[in-house]
Amino acid sequence: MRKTELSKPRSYRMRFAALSAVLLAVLLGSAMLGRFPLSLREIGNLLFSGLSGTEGTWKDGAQKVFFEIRLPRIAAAALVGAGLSLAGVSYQGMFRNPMVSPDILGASSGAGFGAALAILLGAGYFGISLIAFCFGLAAVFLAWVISRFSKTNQTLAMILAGMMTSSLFSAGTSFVKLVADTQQQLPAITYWLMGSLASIKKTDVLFLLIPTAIGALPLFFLRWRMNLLTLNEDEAKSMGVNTGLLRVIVIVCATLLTASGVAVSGMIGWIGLVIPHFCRMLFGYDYRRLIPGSVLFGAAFLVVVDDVARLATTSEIPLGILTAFIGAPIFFYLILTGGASRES
Amino acid sequence: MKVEVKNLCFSYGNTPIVKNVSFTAQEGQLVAVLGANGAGKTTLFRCMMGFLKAKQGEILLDGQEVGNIDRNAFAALAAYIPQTSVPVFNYSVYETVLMGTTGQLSPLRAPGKAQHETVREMLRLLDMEALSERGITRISGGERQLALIARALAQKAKLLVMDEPTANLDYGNQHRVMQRIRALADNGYCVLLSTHNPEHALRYATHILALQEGKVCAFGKTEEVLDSTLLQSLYSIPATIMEIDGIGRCIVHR
Repeated sequence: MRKTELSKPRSYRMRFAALSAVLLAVLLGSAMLGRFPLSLREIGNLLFSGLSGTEGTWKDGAQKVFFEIRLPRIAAAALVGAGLSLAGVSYQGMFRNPMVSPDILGASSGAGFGAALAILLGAGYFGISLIAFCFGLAAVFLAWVISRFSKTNQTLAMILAGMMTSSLFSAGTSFVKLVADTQQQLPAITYWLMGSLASIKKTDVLFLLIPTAIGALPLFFLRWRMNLLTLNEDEAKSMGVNTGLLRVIVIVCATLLTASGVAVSGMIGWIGLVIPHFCRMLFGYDYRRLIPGSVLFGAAFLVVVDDVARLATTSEIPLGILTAFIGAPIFFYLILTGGASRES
Repeated sequence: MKVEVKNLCFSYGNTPIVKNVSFTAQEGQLVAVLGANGAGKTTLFRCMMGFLKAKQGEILLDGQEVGNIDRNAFAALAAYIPQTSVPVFNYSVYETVLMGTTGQLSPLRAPGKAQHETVREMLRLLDMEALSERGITRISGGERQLALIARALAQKAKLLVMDEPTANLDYGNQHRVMQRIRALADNGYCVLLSTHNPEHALRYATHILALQEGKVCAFGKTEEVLDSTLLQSLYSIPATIMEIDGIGRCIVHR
């Protein structure tokens, strides 16, 4: 008995170490790969000189490629992946349903509509992100307000209200497409909705970093209490949890993560749904491990997917297509095996 | 621990569910709440746990009104054990019991050494150590019910409110769980449980609270209150209680 109790935490620590190592390797590998390959030594020199301000030696143009293009893109992929998978794992616990994804309350559809509208109105790249972000927040707020009027089960009311606002904003997006100019705007909207990190700049990373941090930190600190949110409402309350407040915090945080991710990268599905299942296989069900685990796993996953998007063919493959092509078979596997299961 | 319920009334809309219920219970007692479906057992418990706000009357735990006790203090006074259902997420037994310690922590903290010690102690108390790393959805219904009891004990509350703890359990597990619950009452806990099985009440309860259409129709010591008249009025079947040599009092019906 003693032995198993002692060996458990250590094995999870090993898994965290391994996953962190994988993420680091993925980040470094992604920084090296590209149409302008960089060696490990060059990346080291670039990073060192970037941090210390001293001169180093590298190929012509390497500095520009690394700091202006590659690093922002990798950072954005990591942040979006981590954010979406964190939002997914949080919602799955809160709604007590492992098949829930971060767009359940309409954040993605809202952001999609915002982006389409912004493109129609001729906004610039940053404007599109900002408007998409605001509409993502607005969609979830609308769903939340509607659910407050319901007299039935709050959780169910929220899911139904989310479905409603999602379909409303999807219809809005279709309408915008209908009236958009077919030569320029319609392709731009369509391409945006498929998801891409191709035109990421340094400022976008900053724009992404702030809401991601604001969303992720409370979830990280409340990770123990998230476990009790997966229980029935009465049980959680009787154990001293303010379920109403905790639920609002989770919704606000997950919405910030989802809306900012979608606003910068476009519609990327499946990550928030599939990554939490892998994390449960690796780390069990305890949110003390699931929260950090899904951040590491989600980041590594989207960075790899984005590498495929930019390297597999001569033109960019939209991320939404890739994550669905990868996510759907994985989901099929989960359906067959009944999801993440503990053997004991 | 002393529980006092005085003239409690509760209605859903215009439908009264609990009507003028009064009773008291204290440590060392196992009070079985009997009554047909819809008699108000669950509603009474939900009022006592503060999940529902009573329209009228008082519920005092150690002299404090339930509505005025803050959440963490309440968790240290009373624990609620719902009916067994298979949870969605397959937490280990250990993690499940650890959740019971949450009321002892400030909101941003995770359980520490003292909480882990409590969990080990409660698992030992219920002989569940061997199951501690098993998934909660992969153990038997009886074991799961014991895990929920261990979680309630980890709250360190002296009042245990159990909603049909033996529902969905097979015959053997029903009795094993009831024996454990009786042992807790004997060790100084105050246990309130609802049951549809009057035999459990007869065999294990120290006191009986019988509800009929939301009203108390009998309250008192088991041997004084539980008789054939009560059984017939509660369940409308001709049941009687017989003394059998070497076994004790049993419920039989024609």
